[in-house]
Amino acid sequence: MSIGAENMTIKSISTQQAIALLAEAFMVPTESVSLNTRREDLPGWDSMGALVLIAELDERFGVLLSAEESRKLHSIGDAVHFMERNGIVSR
Amino acid sequence: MFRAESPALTGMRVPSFEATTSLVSRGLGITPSLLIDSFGPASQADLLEIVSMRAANRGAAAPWDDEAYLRWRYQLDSTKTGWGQLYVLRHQRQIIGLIGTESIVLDVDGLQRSGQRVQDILIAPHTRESGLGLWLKQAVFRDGDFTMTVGCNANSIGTVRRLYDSVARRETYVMPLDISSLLRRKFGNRSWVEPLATIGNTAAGLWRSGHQLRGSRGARLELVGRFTDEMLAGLKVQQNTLQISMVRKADHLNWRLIDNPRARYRISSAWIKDRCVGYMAASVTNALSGTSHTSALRLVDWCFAPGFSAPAVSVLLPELYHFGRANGCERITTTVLGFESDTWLGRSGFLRRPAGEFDVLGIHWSDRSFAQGQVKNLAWAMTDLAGDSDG
Repeated sequence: MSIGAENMTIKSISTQQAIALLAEAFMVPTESVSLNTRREDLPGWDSMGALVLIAELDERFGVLLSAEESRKLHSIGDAVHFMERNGIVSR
Repeated sequence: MFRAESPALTGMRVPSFEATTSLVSRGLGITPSLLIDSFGPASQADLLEIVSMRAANRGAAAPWDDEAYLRWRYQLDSTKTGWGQLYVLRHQRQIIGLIGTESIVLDVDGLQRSGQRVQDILIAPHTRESGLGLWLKQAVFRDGDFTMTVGCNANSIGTVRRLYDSVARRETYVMPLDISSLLRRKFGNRSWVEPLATIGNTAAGLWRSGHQLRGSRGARLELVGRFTDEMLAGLKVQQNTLQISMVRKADHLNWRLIDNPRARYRISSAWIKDRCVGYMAASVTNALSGTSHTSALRLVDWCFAPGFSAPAVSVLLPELYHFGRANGCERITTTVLGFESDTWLGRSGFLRRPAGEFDVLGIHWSDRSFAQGQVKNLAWAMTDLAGDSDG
């Protein structure tokens, strides 16, 4: 599956790749996070981590994650579901 | 040296100022150029709104007059004197972000570099995670040779680690002034506490007296009413010291330590003949320890003439000790970064405590090649004067 965005067409990624992307954004080893990992258990998922994720989704996939939506993400699973809904992660 | 405290994972790069500008402006529904145009120095007319915003964020009244503090710190009074600058970002007529800076000059291996420390950063609650906090910092990064931050909290430690070139933990040193109150708090009123405290206080006093007699070299003590450049001339650091320290100027020290409405500093100086060979500045602070309030003397700054630390300490520290005791202080505390080559704290009876997680100093150099070069190998010598806290 591909998604269209301004000046870009990006292939979707797998759930595991999405988890790896989130782990990198929040500065933790990929193997230490799962869909069940909660936000409060990730010190790197602070305002800077959230912004790095917003910037990464915008730059790589052309998907806008608003600050309001970002604040509603409470776990890695929530973030992956957001990425599924926006065509970044293939179901 | 500046020891990095969290080098394990680097993660994704921090968005550039241009990228953050794009994200923040999009989130606010404005153009990037309007975002930049909406950011500028605060004026006296902004004061009440800023005080109200800070009070709402704190959730309680400040233990100081916040309006007087802001006027003093950010040149918002009629005198327009001082070293601070407060910037605000307005959106739809309301202030949604503010950031303060204080001009600082560093001696970097003998060369002076002008920059700033950031402080008093605040964003409106509805803008959380919009990137506004980062944007404010990046906006002021463009000014001066460097931008420094001192201290942080759980919310900002991640930003500090990612955003600044180097982040190092500062160390705390403590000298007990009254062993009996420390023992009483730990062991209660047991029969052996007072005799043991008497022995401890007597031994510490004898040790201090011996230390004082050995090193004074005829130095005498004077309290400081105002700093003068002539007085500071004798304290100049040596050139090419392979270290980074703050450049001390009389007008800055007078503003920061003497005209400060948030704290009263006791400043004493040591002289040999007509040369000032050192000074110490300290203030009494109060803290809640368990269920009781305790007082401590916080040594916020000191400076000694090269080669004269022993005579300076020999007259300054006893004065500090007696001032602390007279004001009911249990201990003298200070927080430093570096000073590997200057061991007077250990020699004088200060005990080193583990650095707190948030007791960090981060620095961002505007010259990126400079940031990656020799500066990484320089040692630091920074007192609490580097920070904006008054205890």
